[in-house]
Amino acid sequence: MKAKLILLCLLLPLLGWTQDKFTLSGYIEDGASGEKLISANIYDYVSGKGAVTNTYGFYSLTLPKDSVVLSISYIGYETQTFRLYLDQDITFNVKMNSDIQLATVEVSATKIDRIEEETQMSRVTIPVEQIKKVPALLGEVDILKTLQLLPGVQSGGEGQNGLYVRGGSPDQNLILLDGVPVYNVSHLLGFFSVFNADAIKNVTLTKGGFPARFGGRLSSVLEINMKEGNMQEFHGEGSIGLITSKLTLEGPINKGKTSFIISGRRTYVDLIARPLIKSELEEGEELDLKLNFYDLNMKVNHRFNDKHRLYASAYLGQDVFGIDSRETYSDGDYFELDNGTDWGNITGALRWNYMINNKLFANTTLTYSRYRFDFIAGIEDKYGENLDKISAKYISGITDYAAKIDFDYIPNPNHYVRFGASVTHHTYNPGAFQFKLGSIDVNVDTVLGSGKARSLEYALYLEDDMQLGRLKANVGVHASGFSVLGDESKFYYSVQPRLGLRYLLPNDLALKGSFSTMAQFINLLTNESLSLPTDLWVPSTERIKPQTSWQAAIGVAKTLFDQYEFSIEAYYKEMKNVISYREGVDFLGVENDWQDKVTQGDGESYGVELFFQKKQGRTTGWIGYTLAWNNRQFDELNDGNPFPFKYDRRHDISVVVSHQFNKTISMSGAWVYGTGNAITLPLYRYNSPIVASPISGDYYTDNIETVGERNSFRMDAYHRLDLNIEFYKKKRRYERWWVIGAYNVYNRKNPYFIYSGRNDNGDRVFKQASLFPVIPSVSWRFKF
Amino acid sequence: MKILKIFYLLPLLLLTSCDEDFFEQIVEVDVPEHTPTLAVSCYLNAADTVINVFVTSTVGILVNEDPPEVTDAEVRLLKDGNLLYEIPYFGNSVYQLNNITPLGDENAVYTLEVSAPNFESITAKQRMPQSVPISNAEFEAEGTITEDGDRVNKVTIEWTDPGGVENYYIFGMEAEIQFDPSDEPFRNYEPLGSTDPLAEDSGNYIYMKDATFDGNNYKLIAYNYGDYEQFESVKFHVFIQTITEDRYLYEISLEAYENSKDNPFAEPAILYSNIENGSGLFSLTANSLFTIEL
Repeated sequence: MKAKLILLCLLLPLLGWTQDKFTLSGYIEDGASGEKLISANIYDYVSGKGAVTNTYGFYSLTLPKDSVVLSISYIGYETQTFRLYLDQDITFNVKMNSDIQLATVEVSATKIDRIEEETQMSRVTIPVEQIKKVPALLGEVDILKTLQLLPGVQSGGEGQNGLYVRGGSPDQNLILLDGVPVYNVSHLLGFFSVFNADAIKNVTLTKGGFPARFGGRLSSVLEINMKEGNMQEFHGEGSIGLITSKLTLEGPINKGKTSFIISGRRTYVDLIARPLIKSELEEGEELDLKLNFYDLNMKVNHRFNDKHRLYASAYLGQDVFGIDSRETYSDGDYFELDNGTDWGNITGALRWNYMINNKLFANTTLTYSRYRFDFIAGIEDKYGENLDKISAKYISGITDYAAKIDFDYIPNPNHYVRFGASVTHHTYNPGAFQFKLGSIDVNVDTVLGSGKARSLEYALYLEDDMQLGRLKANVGVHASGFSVLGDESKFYYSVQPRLGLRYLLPNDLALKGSFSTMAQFINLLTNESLSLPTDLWVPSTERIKPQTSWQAAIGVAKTLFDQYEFSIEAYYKEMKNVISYREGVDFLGVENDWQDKVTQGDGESYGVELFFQKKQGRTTGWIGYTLAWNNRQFDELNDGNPFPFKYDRRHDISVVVSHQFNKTISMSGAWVYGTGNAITLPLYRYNSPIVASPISGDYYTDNIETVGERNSFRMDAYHRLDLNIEFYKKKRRYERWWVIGAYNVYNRKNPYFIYSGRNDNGDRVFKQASLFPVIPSVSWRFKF
Repeated sequence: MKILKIFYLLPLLLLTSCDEDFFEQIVEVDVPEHTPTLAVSCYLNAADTVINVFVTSTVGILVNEDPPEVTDAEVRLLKDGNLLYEIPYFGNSVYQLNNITPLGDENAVYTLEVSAPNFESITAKQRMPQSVPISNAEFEAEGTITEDGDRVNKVTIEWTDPGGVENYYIFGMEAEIQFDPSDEPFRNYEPLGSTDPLAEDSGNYIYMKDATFDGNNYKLIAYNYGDYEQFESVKFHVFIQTITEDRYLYEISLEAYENSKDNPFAEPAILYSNIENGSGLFSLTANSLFTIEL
C-alpha cells in the first residue's frame, strides 16, 4: 500500500491532477497564410510559466485558476498579448501577424527566442529567409551548404553538400523531409542539394544531446519541414537563374480548410547545349544530350476541425545524364548508341494530427521513401541483313515503408512528455545487373548473392522535458531493434539512454550538458570525396555490425541585449563499428560483394564550438569557430594505428553577414576558413617485376609508389569569400529581386586533391588540382 | 562498368580541364627525406632450373632519376638455414643462376638474403608449398557467361584440397596451338577469369584460398575469351600453382594498388611486401599440370 502511495505521488505531477488548474491549448498560425508556426512562444506573465508550439503548431499550457496575461511571440511576427480569466479548459487558437515592415527590411524579428530557456543544446534553427540571403554557388540557394557554415558542421570537398557533423560522416546524418528519411540528398555529384528552399518552411539541425525521439543515425538529425500552403490566398514565387529555374504556387483549395503547395525546379544546361550540339553534327549524325535535374515538392493539408488535421506531402527528384547518338550510313545501315543514368528520390508522407484532448496530441504518420539509381546502355548495330542489339541495365537503391505514432503529453508547464513508436521496412537493392544480347537474357546480381535484402527496424521512445526550478532536464530512453530478414536472418537491438540538462546561473547564463548514445543499423557505402549516385545503402549483417556512438557535451549559452546569441560548447564523441572502404578498393566497381570492400573500426572526435549570432536588426549573421580533433582506428588500415580522419579540421571558421542598406538594397557575404584536409601521399618508389604469366614467369616492370602513414599530410588551408547583392523592388502586382553574386570572390586556388607528377622540365613534383575559380552568378526572383 | 566511371568523372574532368593554370598548380609539400633501401623481387617455382632475383633501390618520391640498379650486391639463397646458392649479377637489375637442380616441393624453408654496400641487408623467408594434383579439367567452347554477359569459353578445374593446412592457389592456362599440321606447335598464355565468388581475378590468372573448402574437393569454373576454331589443333595445359600466404596477400594488394593508382578518389594502397628491411616479394610456388586435348 505504501509503495502505491509513493508511486501515486510520483505520478501526480505528470498526470497534472489538481483541483484548481485549467488548460489553455490550441494552435498558433500565420494569420495571413494559415501556416502553423513551429516553436512559437506562449508565456504567461502572471504565473511566469510558458510553452512552445510543437512541429504542428500545437501548444498546451496548464495554469492555476486565475487571470492570465499571455504573450505570444514568434520570429518575424508582431508579439501579441491577451488577457484571459482561466476558470475552465480553453481552446485558444492564435493567428499571428507578420511584421511587414520588418519582414521587408530585415531578416528577423521581434521575438526573442532565448537560447538559455531551452534544455536542448547543440541544436540550431536557421530561418529559410536567412538561408536565402547566404551567397551560393551559381546563385543556387542551398540549405545544406548553409548548414556547413555552422560550428561543428564541416563541408567535405570543394562545392560538396555533404555534412560532416562533429567528426561524423554524411551517412551518419538522419535527414528528414517532413519526417521522411531522404537517402540521397545530392544533385549533380553533390554540388547541389535536393532541397528547394522555396518549398521549405523550417530547418533544424541537432548535432548532439539527441532527445529520445530521434534515433537511427550517429551524428546528427536534420529536420526539414515543407511549407503547408496558404489557407487564405493564392500566392506564388519563383526565380530564374544561371542553371535552374523555380516556381512555387500555393493557395487554398477550400478557404480556411484545405490548402496546397507545389514547387518545382529544373536545370536547363541540356536545353541550352542541344542546339549548339546539333549545329556541329554532320549529315547522318544525330546526337541528343540529356543533362539535367529536377525536383518537385507537393503538399496538401486539410483541417477537419480543431482536433483533426491531415497532411499529405510528396517529393520527387531526379538527375538525368545521358547521350543518345545515331549514325546512319548512305546504304541504310546504322549504329545507334543510347547511354543514360538517372537517379533520384521519391518520398511521401501521410500525417494525421489528432488533438486527443487539451493535453495530449497525437501524430500518426505513414511514410514512403525510395532512392533508385539506374544505368541503361543500349547498342543497335544494323549492317546488311544483320541487326545486333545489346542492352545493359544496372539498378540499385533502397525503399522504405514506415509507420510511426508520436504523442505529445503536456500535463503541466513543468513537464513535456513525448513517447511513440515506429516500424520501418527497408528493401535494399544493392546492385542488380541485367544484360541482354540478342536472344540471351541474363540477370546477375553483382553485390548481394540473393539479390534484394530486407530488414525491419523498430523504435520505441519516451522522454520528458521537465523543469525543476532553475534546472531543466530532458530525460529519455530510445530503444531500437533491427531484424535482417531472409536466409541470413539476424537481430540486433539497442537501448539508448538520453539526458539533457540546463541550469540557469545568475544573469541568465545557461549552463548546459548532455549525454546521448546512438545506434545506426544501415550503412552507406560511399567515397569520402564525392557524393555519387552509386552510393549504396546496405544493412547491418552478420559480418557488418551496427554502428554505435556515445557523445557528451557541456556548454554555456546566453542571449545578449535581446539581439545577440552566444554559445560555447565542448563535446567528446566515440564511435564504434564505423565503416571505411578497404585500402585501394575501387568505389565505382560493383563486381564484388560489398561486404568484402569495407572494414569496420572506431572513431573519436572532440572539440570546442563557439557560436555568436545576431538575429535581428539591419545587420544579421553569425561567427562560428570550431576547434576539433577527429581520428579513426581500423585494424585493417594503416597497420592498425590510429590516423586522422580525412576531414579532421583543426580550425574551422565561418563568418556570415547580411546587411540591409535600405528598403531596396541588401548585401550578404560569407567567408570560410578551414585547416586543409588530411591526405595520404607517396613517400618513395621502386621498380618491381609484375608477373604476367605464372607459367613462363614472364613479367613486366612497374614503378611502384609507396605511401606513408595514412592521412599524415595536410593540404593547404581552404578559404573563400562569397558575396551577394540584392536589389528589391515592389511592383504593383508582384515583388522582384535581382540577385548578383560571386563565389570565391578573390579567386583562391583551393586544393581539391594532390598527386605526384612531372613539371614542364620533367622534374617530379606534387601537383594540386583545384576546382572552382571565381564564379559570378545572377538570378531574378519574384513573388506575388 | 567502365562506362559508368566515365559518366561520373566526365563533369569533373570538364571542370578541371577548363584552364590548366587555375585548376592545376605545383605545390611544395614537405616530404620527409627518404633513406634508400633494397627492393628485391624473386619468384621461384619448385620446377625452375633458373633463379632470377630482381634487385634495385628505392628512391624518394621527388627524385627525378629512375630507381638505380644495384650491381654489387651479394645474393644468397639458403635452404633450412644452410647456404644453397650464391647468385651472381646478370644485368638489367637481375641476379641470375642457370642450370640449377629444381628445388622441388620438398617441405623446406628457403631464405633469401641480399646485402649491398650502403644498404641495410634484407632477408625474406618462405616455406615451399606442396603441389596439389588436378583431378580433372575440361574445356567447353562458349560454355559460360561473364559478369558483363559475354558468352565465353568455360574451363573447369577440379582438385582435392589438402586438409588441415591453409592452401593458396593460382590458376592459369596455356594453349598449345598448331596452325597447320606441318607447323611446329607453339605455346601461348591464355588469360583466365572467373565469376566464382571465392575466386579473385588478376586479369591474367585466378587466385584464391581454401578457407571455405578446406580438405574437400572443389570445382572451379573459369572462363576464357579465346577463339580456337581457326586452328588445326589445340591443347590446353591447365595448371594449379600452390602459393604461399605472402604471395596471396601480395596479389590482393596488387589488385588494390592497381585500382587506386592514378585515381585521386580512391584510398591509396600499399603493395604487400615480405622483405625484412626492404621492399618487394620473395615467392615460392609449386605447379601441377593437366592437359586437355580438344
